[in-house]
Amino acid sequence: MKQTKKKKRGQWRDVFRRLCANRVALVSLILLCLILLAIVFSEQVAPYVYNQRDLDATFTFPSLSHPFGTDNLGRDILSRVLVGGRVSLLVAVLSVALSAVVGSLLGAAAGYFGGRCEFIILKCTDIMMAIPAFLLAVTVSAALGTGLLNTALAVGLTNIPRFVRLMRAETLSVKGNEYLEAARACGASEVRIILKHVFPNALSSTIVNVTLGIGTAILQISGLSFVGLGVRPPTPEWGSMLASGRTYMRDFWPMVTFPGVAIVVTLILFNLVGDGLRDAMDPKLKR
Amino acid sequence: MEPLLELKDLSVKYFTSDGTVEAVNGISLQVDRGETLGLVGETGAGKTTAALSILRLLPDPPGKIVGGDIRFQGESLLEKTEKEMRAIRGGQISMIFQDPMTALNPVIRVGEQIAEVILLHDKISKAEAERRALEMLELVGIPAERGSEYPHQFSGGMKQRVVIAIALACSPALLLADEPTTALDVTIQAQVLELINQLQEKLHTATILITHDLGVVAETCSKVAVMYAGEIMESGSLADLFDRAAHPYTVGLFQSIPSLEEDVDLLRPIPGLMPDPTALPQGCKFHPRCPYADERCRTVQPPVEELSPGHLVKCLRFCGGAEQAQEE
Repeated sequence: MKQTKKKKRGQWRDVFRRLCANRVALVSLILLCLILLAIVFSEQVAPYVYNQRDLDATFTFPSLSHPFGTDNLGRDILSRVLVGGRVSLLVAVLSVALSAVVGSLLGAAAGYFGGRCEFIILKCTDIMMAIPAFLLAVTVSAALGTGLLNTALAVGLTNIPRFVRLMRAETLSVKGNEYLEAARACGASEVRIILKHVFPNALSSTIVNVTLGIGTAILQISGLSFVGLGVRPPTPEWGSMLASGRTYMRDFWPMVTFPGVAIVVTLILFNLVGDGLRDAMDPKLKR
Repeated sequence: MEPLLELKDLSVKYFTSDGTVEAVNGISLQVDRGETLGLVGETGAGKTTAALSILRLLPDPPGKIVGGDIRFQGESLLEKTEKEMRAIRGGQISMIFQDPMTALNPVIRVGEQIAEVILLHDKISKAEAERRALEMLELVGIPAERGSEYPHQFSGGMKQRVVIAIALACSPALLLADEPTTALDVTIQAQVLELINQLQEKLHTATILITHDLGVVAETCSKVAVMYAGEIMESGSLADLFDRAAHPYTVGLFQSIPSLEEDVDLLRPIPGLMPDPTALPQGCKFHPRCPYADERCRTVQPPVEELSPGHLVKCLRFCGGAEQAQEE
């Protein structure tokens, strides 16, 4: 630290340095990166082609040749989990990114400007929240049609209200601070104040909400796939794999367990990294 | 020469659901280049409102400038567009806020916060702005290395220095200091005031120092204006007010300061409280608390009377009867 003082350090480098100091977050980040790499290069990593059937070897329990076993059509579960992660995570991340960006901007605007702007934004989110989330997702994706992007759009739209509410509340608590007034007295424009002074101070709970939101999104996507509106088979996807394995759950556990474990582990890692990121972004916690 | 800043009959009202708050009622002020004006008054006298309206930063709604004019370098600030105002804020007029603890953004490094103002007003590269920010830090007596630290790593006095550095980073012509030392303890107060004075001389900045501390005024200002219930009751040079205080309110303020020489058990406060700004009294605003008040004070608005050049008083006792005042 003393040595590097002379050097200019970017804010994000600082955050990263603090993140690395947090052992749990660092380990989670590394594991998450490994998982993401495995999923991105799943075609190369997977031991089998994900939709290659082997009707002579259906329902085999985990063995050396099939570490996760095979499913009802004799497809290698490990390969399917790897390839399925692509769709699940891609759609989940896309949809959360959509809802977080749109929701936070709307929420910040509502909290910051108040008045009629706030009224309109909040009433719209209220209306959206009054409709059950899944019903809304079903409606949207039924209207848009199936497919990766449309599913992301449907799930993303339904999650916007959560982010609006959260960001608005955080913005309200930041709004009273004198440094906003000081920034205005320095000649900063409203947009600049929101982006540079309100956002960074109101972001921490949104970050945690993003990591939680990825979990919710994966489940919602699987729900959509389950009713046939999400990603169409044979494209594997964690949620639809769970759904199809459900039928055989009592006699053959690997089909539900491994996609389930994949979801749980990925979620926990996302959450731990998100927690660490939130702490790392708060300079006051720096020791 | 025309004054740097001139307030002409400025009136500000807050329109709230509980009634209209008459925060500033027709104040007129002049500040010349390089000069320090002390704006003194009790809490709620309208000092901060006056300062905020100069920057056009009144919370609107409910605040509104309802009358008068603010002229800065010969131009009316009330006619400027929002964009022009942004160029003035922080560039030509800047403001120091009361509480340094909350006036800095906790998640941005202080060096960067200073650089931000410079970047907003001068067309220079980011690296250049950061270099100048560190120079400003040195100027207010903070080692440049600390520019990469966050506000919570600074003490209150240091934070106020940073705030001053931000305010003066673009060498403004006018500095509005809104009780810059109220949140600091006495030794730090003295340091900060001295710093403001030094920098002011170095950068030729005029200052309006808002305070309720007459001691601070005596130390730093060349002109003083005393505010009460949104009006300027008396204004003049430092000597005019400290040696020849005329208005009963000013006199009362001085009397309520404990003397070092005498051994007193009780302070001599001005009896009563500030009037409710939603229902100001008729006539002279000070008459309910004034020991000299008579029937006329209850009904007649006192006009501004010039006792000697530059020494203005708003009190009926001096109206057309300066001799009478001299006797007392």
